[in-house]
Amino acid sequence: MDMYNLEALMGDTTSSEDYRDLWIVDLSAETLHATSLLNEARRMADSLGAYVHYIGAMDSSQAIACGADRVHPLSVDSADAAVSALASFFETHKPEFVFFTASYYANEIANRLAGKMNSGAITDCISLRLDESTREIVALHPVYDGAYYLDSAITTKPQIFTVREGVYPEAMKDKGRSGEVEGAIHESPLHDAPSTADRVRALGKVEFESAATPLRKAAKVIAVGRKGNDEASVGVAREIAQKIGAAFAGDRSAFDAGWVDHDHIVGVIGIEIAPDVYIAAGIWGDTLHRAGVEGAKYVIAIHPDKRAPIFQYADACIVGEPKEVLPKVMRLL
Amino acid sequence: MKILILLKPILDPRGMMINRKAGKVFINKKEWMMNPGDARALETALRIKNTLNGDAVVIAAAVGEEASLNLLRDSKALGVDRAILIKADAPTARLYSALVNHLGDIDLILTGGSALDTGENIGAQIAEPLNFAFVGGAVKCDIENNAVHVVKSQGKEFHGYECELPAVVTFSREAPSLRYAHGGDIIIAYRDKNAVETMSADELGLTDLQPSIVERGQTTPPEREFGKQVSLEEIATAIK
Repeated sequence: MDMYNLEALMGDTTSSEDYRDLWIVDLSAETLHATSLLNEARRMADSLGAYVHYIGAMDSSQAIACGADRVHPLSVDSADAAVSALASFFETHKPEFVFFTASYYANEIANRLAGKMNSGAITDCISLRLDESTREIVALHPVYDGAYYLDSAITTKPQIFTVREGVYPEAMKDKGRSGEVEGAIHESPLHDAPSTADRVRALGKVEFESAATPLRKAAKVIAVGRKGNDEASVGVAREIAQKIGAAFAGDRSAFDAGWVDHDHIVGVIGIEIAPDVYIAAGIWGDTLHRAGVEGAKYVIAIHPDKRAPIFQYADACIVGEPKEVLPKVMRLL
Repeated sequence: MKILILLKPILDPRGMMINRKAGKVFINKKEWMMNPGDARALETALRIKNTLNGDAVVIAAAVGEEASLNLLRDSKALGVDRAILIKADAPTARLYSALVNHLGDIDLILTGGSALDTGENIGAQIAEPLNFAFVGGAVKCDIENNAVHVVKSQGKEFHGYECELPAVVTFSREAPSLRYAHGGDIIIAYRDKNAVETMSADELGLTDLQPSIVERGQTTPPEREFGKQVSLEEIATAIK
């Protein structure tokens, strides 16, 4: 028994043919991302024979010039208000494809909406491939902090995706295009059920430091691994960290050796960091470690084995034993 | 107070090798671990239980076979009151919603913000059908005056939220990490055949368990070239 038979038994006779069109939901403050997504939706809609709808606060003439056929103004100030408004709107409008511009906020809303509509959502997509014959989109999205990518598809409708910024090029605008502006979307509780929107109250900014915050915020990080390091060289690494004002961390092997605790592991499973300078001493640096430090601006790698994968993404490399190199670096500081 | 924790086993990346040149992911050793976000949710649940001086019942649930069973045994060793294994292929929002309705009177559902191996956010997906309030990305979560107080990071700042019960709270990897169980408790949990209850999807009234999202393939990010070999002096200058 699939979802549609279940709903028929419960009195709702929606079939997959009732789901229509491509819908862009734009909850961001800037418009660049949504405009390029509108262009891509226009291209897909033309091959599917569908309309493109824009939901958000962008100027309607700009949305239409970028490819929207219909514009539905929406302005919300909380995730709960967004979910409530979109859920009740989509209850009547039955979208076939919904695309959000990805952000932490949009990812949360997309997932909540998917749950509400008994479908699925794929977040942080970096590519969308439409199969016109099956009307299915296969989305590429990162897993394990970006160590590798999965190609996934949603088998139920609506198909909901959040798309990362920078995936599509800057939008082309056609000022000659025409479209319609519909009434604004408002929040409204579904089926007289109380909305969850009043149940979460923002208390404002708080002063808080998690155990991982210093590492996450550090502009410079020095991390150690097992290879070529011993207690003495780890001590030197800590001194260097203190001297240059860097945070001290380690990879999984350093944690296993007891040199760092849970909150100072860098890499997948541990903390994702994006410092200005990242020094990796004795870290093999396979793809899973790399995924955790992908955002680092300048990577310095020290490792005795020149085949170490870390040399393939480090900006500066020294092939050597950290227990010899680190004391020399310390003397030069 | 009745707290439900949703746990998921993921493949330990320690056993993986990702070859960007070949564009393939090789699983050299199939080891399982608890999804990091879920582990932090479990730690918070145990802390809430301590704070409420036993006035809380913590139930851990997972879907699957042996890997999930072991996670539940570990959670029993750490002190959860009940551990439930649902025998099904994959965790879906529908399955967990049915479990919540079956258990009844759940006040708080805690789980990780997203599964590291698929990116799915089950916590957010079950909030709406159950009509529970939702707060995601928590780094800290307490119960005060029958409401949930959550701190979550927003950019470079932390913001507080107060949330009515019943609620779903999901955790980021910056929340407190999971404690270690006492060795003796682990032995007891693994030896006790009744430590973990099992349930089938039929018992929850579900026959269709097809997940909405299916995997069609895997690819890897592109290759990069060997970095520039530098001298020690250049390193010292760059890091000063």
